[in-house]
Amino acid sequence: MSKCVHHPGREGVFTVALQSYCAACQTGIEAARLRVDRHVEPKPCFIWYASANNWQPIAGTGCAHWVAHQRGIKKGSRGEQCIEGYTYRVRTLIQGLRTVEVADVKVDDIYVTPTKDHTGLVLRVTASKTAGKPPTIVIRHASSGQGRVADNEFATYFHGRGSFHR
Amino acid sequence: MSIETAPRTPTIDIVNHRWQWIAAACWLCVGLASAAYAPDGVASGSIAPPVPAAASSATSFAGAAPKAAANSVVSYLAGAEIQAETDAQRAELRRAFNDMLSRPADELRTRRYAGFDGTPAARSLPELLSGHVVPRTPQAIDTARFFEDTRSPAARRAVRRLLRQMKQ
Repeated sequence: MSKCVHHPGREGVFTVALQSYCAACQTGIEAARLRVDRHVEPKPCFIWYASANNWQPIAGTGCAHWVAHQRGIKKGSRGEQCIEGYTYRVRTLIQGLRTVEVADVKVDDIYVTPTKDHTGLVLRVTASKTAGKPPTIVIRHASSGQGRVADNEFATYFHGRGSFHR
Repeated sequence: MSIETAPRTPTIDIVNHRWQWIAAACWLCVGLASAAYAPDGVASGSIAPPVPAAASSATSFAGAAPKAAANSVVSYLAGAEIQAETDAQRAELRRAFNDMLSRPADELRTRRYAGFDGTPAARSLPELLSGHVVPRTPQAIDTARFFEDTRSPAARRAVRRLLRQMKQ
């Protein structure tokens, strides 16, 4: 096994996403994992090397991190990814994607709030029986407010505001 | 036999010490250039985005936390992304930012803020910020310096910038 990515003088004792870590890092990683908030999914990789010998849970709500894992998005630099390489910033997550009109939304499109501070995935789209009315859209998201990955309606929970990206 | 040396004139002194004069001139230029920049590294009146302190660590990956940032608040907030799901969470974050602008360090240490789910007084200021503010580079809030650092003008500018960002 190769040397620790953070301590080149130490032997790596375990590997995450092709990166080797020493015994001290392993201890720090395991301790940090225990402090990840309950709503964050997946939990084991939502940690970062905050400073010398200091592993911490990644800052933020983890909403973009959950979407990135679901969609396999690994955008941004190494410093913008969880230890498995998935993006955890909303703005980085939707970089390069095009905006989709509400009438054209499909399952797996990415939903983002107007201030780009929260994100989720389109789970279901049900066409309206009334012509000209928008479809009913259900969004699945890592909900810090509800403490879990939750399904909520775009029109009610999110007040029909925000954008969709594909 | 003695060799008579000509008395030194001020002109000869300048020539003999030309490197010191050049060094002094350079030092003056660097000083003037530094004064044109704000303490948090953002040019005064510039429209350029905030630039965090340079990441530097031979043992960590690119983008790791700055080792010796001038101000821990600026280091954490400059270029950060806000993440919040509900209007209640956003309101709590705005309250915290306003507290950072108006309350002394000792008071900030004891302030409590609602949890993610709205539970009153569930989080300290650093806990609230790390739950909703993603810094530009991986780092933890340095609680030994953070509260005192909120008093600096650069820190207050960084807080105001995020408050403006929340209104957009």
